[in-house]
Amino acid sequence: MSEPIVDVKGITKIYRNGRGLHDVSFEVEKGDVYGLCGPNGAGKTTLLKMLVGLIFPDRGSIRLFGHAITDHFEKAMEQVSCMFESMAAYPYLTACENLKLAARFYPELPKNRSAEVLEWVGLEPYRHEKVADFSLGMKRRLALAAALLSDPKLVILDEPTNGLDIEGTLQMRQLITRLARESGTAFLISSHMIGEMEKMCNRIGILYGGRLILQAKVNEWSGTGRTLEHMYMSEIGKAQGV
Amino acid sequence: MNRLYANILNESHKLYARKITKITLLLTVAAPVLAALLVTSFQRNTGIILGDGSHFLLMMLDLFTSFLLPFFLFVTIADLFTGEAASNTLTNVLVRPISRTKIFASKVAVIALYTLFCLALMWLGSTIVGFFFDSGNVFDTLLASSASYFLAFFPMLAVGLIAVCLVMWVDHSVSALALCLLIYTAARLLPFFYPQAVSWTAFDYTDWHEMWIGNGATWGQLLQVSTLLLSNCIIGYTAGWYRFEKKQF
Repeated sequence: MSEPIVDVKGITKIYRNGRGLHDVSFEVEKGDVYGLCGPNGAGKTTLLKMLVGLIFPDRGSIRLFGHAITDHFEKAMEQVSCMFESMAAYPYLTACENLKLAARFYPELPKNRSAEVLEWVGLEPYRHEKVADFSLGMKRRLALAAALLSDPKLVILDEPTNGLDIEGTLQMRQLITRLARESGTAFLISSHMIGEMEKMCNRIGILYGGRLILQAKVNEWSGTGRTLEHMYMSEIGKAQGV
Repeated sequence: MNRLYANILNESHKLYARKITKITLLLTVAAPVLAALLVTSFQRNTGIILGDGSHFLLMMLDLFTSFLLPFFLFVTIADLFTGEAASNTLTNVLVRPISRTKIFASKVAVIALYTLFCLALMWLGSTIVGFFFDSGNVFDTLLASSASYFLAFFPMLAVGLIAVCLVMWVDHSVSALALCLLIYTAARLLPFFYPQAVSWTAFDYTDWHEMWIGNGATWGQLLQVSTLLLSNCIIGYTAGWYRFEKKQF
């Protein structure tokens, strides 16, 4: 069996206010679309940020493509891209220039790659406009384009549909499903949009109070008449002792 | 392409695209012209001759390295580190396959290049303006003046690296700029009250070039100040890098 793309073992991070993550372990395989659900403050963003080295765990290990991010960061991140809700493009540069900066880290990329990803997210007509003039939705689309620019094998998306209109949400879902199916790209997505998650993901993890309380495959319950929403409410209820 | 080199290109690209950089470069060019107009007007009104063209070049260098360039450096550094972290644009680089050590090194390299460029621009501007004061004298001292401007790079680099270390401790670019200005002003004023303090930081040696060019400083003094500048550079770089490496975003 091949090595998992994401291999997280026992990571713990406790903030001063007592919140954080407790002993979280999971794996993501090639082609997986793994959805991370949970209420606000459950630790979803903290977990995703730890995977790319923006936050450091107190304990535990994170390996991406077999490389520990603490020891071989550059190697581990070579095929990884991400988009966080808090990330911002350089407002004084155009969409094209923003992608040009990112592209310099991947010299093997074809010259028309920026145009291609801008086309995917519907920003091609605005490529020479400054990001400062973009709407929130356009900025999110550009962030997605920047995440897909390097043809990554793992894409980490934190609340990707926030700020997107219905059309944008639909396009994003189609893009994610297509890339996972056609090129085996793995996605790790955190979102509150449970309906979207159920349509996009093949695996779901529910994070509550910093603990991963459930990991399941979507096809495990898809024939039972239950929805992810039922599962989610039932698991959260159990965790709260209701 | 080497990732360090790629990020040096990226940082230069960003720096050049910023409005504030264009303003500082414009002021660097405008400063000798404005100073020349002021000096000419003063000489005409009072009849007192302040100096010839070569004096003008050194006067501009003193003025530039004591006030203007440190200020420009603080603005640039605050923007490059704290400003980017506060606006969440720094994350764009942190999640790419480049180590934090290389990101930090590339930012410092761009600050060094910016310092050199500002000094070169000021030298060129002052030389052209100085030519109108006293063309013969300016050309006679062209080598000495260019050496002075080049030597001024080293204390400016030390000032920049100390500022890099300082801005790592605050979260907003305005606070970072205020902190740098406060510490710089305090360091410049402290020797007036406590003379021993002159040997503590690079902030008091922005006129280092004068020790080399015609000031009669001994080799011992030159070595002492060079060591101080070097140690300030090493402390500033190492402490700044350590803080950058451990920061969580």
